[in-house]
Amino acid sequence: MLLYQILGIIVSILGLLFITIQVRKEKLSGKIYGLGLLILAFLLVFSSFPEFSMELSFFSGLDRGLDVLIIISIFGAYYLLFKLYNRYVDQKKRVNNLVSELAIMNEKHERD
Amino acid sequence: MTNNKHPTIKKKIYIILPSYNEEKTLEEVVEELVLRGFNILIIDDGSSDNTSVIGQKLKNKYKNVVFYYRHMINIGLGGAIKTGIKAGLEKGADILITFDADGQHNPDDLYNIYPPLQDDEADVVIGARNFQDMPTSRRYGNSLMNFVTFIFQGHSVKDSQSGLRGFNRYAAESLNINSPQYGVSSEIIGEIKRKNFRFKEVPMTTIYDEHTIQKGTNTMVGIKIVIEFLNNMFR
Repeated sequence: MLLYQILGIIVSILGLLFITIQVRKEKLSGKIYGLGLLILAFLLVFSSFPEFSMELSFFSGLDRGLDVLIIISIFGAYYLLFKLYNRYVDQKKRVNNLVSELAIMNEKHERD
Repeated sequence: MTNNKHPTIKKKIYIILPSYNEEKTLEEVVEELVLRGFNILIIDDGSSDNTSVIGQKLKNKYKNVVFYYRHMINIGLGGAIKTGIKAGLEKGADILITFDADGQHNPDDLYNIYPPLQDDEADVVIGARNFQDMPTSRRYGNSLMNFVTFIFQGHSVKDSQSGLRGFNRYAAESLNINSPQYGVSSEIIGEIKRKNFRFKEVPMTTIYDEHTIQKGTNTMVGIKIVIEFLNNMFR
């Protein structure tokens, strides 16, 4: 076994333990837990059996399994970026509503 | 209160003035509106110039006619309009009209906006500018935004980016504004279609000078609006 495989297996097991503890403490939602499980399961499988990526490359029509993994990772990164951006937009909306409410409250207070 | 030439104000009308760094024009705009018998809601959107000083001065000068609200931070045109609508509804407004504080709008155009709302002919009235009177860059930009609004909001209007909009109380209460910045103009057009408001477009004049050309929807803002709409589609 190569070093990256050992590291990949350690990181995925530690990661699985971590997110399981977080979800038990109710600090993580079911959806995020499921996504985390999927990503870490991928990491565990491909670290333990790297030749499995060749099966994926056969189905995708690409030459190398590594290319498949890179493309999946890029799509995954874009998806996470999109989700993160929407979280930022939602938080901004909450701040804007607060600013608006404060402006109205302050005007009422000054009038009284 | 009006003269014989202009339509009588029969209902409680509040003008919403979203203001961001408008120290040069705010006082003149407010004075013109007060002269015509309107109640004013100045929404200071976190200005860093003397807008707040002028706003407070006008509030004290015209007690119970001019009201001043200040956002602690700048949250954008959409946020300012939301605050204005909320404030106006709390004051018992029958009609709410958004008006630009940068001197781009002619106060006399208000005489086209509120009569259909007062006479219950429409729920929303929007002023439509004559695109031939605009600088070339703005004409193309606004035409493009009309197209973008039609694609994303499903409603075609003569001037989707017009800042002169009147709402009766029912429309103001039903409006659901989410866009914080300039996308609010297109979003309101979409709300008209989604909520099936009775809608009317009336002619208006536009005053373009160096100050007003710098503000408003430029190319970068237009691109941001499109990205915002695309993001909302995929959320």
